[in-house]
Amino acid sequence: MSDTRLTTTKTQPLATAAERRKTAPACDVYENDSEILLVADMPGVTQETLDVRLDRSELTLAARPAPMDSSGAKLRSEYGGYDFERRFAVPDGIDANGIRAELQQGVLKLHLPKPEGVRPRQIPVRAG
Amino acid sequence: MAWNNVISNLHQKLRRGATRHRSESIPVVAGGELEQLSSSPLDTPPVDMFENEREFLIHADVPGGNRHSATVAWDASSGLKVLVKRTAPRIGADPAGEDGGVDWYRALALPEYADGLRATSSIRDGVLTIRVPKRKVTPKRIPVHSG
Repeated sequence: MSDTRLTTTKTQPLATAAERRKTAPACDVYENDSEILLVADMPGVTQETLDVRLDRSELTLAARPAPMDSSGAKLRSEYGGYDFERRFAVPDGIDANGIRAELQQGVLKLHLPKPEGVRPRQIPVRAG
Repeated sequence: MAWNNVISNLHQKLRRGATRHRSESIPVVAGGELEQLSSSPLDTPPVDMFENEREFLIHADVPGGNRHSATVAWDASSGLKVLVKRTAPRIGADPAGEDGGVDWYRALALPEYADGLRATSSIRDGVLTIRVPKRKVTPKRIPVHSG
């Protein structure tokens, strides 16, 4: 059976002040017989500000959260003002046209269907 | 295979899958205790807080939260407490998890002039926003006596 695990590359925060900081969204990867499910936390992100790309075997998630109301003096700053970016190496044989994406409540779910060849199959046994 | 088509298809699927969420209002309840009913571990959501002439404005990252899973409580002595439950998808093998399976919890102390009983909160796209109005504080004049 071929290896269907996703490998990931976390993007390091950029040091230059000219660009917005980037951070890798926290992700969980689930796997069952038929698909790999990638779940990424992307709070503040909408469909318009999210870019999901599959280039050969590299899957890239990039997003710019919508700016929030920030009227007043900043008392505490822990999360605002950064973009999300993370890349994954997609295993061979994933059905690119079958990839399904959902974005709800700041959580992206990407369903990557496994190729038929690596799915476990039950072999019917007939009595002689 | 034409990869441009693959990318285009992916965007179309994302458009179909994405739901435009309006901001959902969440009542702020009085009382300091928030009981966690599930056995999920707790994580601390990152928070930005601003203060202007009228109010304190708080944004917290709680991806996966919605108005049914979020509770915001105010207690005069201990301030704001936020608990957001989230449900991790359960398919197949256990993940080498980074985000799923945790509930969000955060307590925030605010100054005495914060009027938590009039606080409002809402959630949108996994970001919780809380507005706590300020009480009017009448400046007190300090008499100065010459020696």
